[in-house]
Amino acid sequence: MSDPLKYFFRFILFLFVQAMVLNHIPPLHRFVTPYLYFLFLIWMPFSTGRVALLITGFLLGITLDVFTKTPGLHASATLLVAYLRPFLINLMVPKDTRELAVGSPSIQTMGTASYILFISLLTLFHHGWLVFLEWMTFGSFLFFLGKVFFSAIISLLLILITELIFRPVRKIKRR
Amino acid sequence: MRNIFLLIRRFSVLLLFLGLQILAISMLVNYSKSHRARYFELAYEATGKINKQYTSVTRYFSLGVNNRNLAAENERLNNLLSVNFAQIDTGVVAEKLPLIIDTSNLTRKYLWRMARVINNSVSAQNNYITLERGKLQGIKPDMAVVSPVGIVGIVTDVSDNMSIVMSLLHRKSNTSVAHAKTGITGILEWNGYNPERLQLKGIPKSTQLQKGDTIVTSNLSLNFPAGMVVGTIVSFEPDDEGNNYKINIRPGANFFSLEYVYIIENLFLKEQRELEQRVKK
Repeated sequence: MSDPLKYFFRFILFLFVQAMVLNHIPPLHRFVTPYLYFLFLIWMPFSTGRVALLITGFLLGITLDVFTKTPGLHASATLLVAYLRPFLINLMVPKDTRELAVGSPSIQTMGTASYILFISLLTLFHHGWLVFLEWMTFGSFLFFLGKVFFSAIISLLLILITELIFRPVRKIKRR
Repeated sequence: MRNIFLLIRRFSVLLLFLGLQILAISMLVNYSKSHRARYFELAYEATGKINKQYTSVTRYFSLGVNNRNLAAENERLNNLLSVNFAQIDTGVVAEKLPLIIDTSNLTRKYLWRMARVINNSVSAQNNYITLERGKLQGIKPDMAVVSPVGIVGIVTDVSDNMSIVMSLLHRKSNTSVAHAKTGITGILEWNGYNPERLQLKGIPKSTQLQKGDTIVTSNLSLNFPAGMVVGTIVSFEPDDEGNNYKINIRPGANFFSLEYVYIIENLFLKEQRELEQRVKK
């Protein structure tokens, strides 16, 4: 399957899972809302330009917003993820390997530790900004912190499970 | 001039980011002020269609509960039928029709319409419900939405064939309700924490309350007919700061398994609003 088509289907699949499954599961707790859809942005290839990334992020967020009826809320959070992603990649991937790195961020291209740090940071930024926007209109600070923390943990768990299912690490022989 | 272009080119990514961010946040702010998203109307029609397909599968899961609710409501309505009431022959010519409600001299105030729920959420801070009826079927904003076992919310936005309901589980929802036994009115709100608990404010400490007391819609409500079941009192305690109770209510409607609801139109709403506006001026 060609790349644009692959990303198109992935876009739809992520949105579907988020809007139809994750948003509909009965709430475990008032702190916990799992988010997975922004993994689409994380999985975009290294070579994606910053402007294209921003526009994709905005489209992803605004499409989910139509489903959740919160125009602008998720769009704002995905924009932040799309804006911060290149900076984090620059920080985390060493310069000499970055030029060799083809494909997209994954455990194989970035290494286990830095990849987990990379998705954790982006998840925290995404959730922090999302809950912050909610918090601006109401709520207490404790609620803000609790929701960011617990939602991020559950989301990270989901992201790791998704990673293991769809992009298993192939064993590389090391001497 | 050239420098300005250079500056724009250099910071183009940042500027695009800020521009889109401002767009997103202004949409959010606008929406939370008015709860109407005109430019989203077409998109809502599209997502409504998707949700409709989706609920045609998921509605089987709540079929049992909904059947029971419908049967209970049919029982109640059957009890109101005129067949159930006999004219006891006292030798006096009956002047009343054997109907409970004599509709001959009355004007209709509320009009009920059935609607199917095609999307529903309980996990967010501001929950909305999508119904499969819209402008073309006569639905307008501000109509009341009730389920057979309790009130559900108020229509806030309509497109051609869908309408969006602000659920009672919404930070900005406030409904005028009354304690059924004493008739004292208060305001029903939701603090966003537990979808099985609503908060009732404005009931003075002098009121005699008991756990399990029924809360109904008040006669002051613009949207709801008076006396519709809202829920029951679960717990109450005096508020230290004011003169009122802090009351927790279990909603009568089960927000987890809504399937069919009624949209109630108050036919006098416009007239009442206009009159009240005129006095305010």
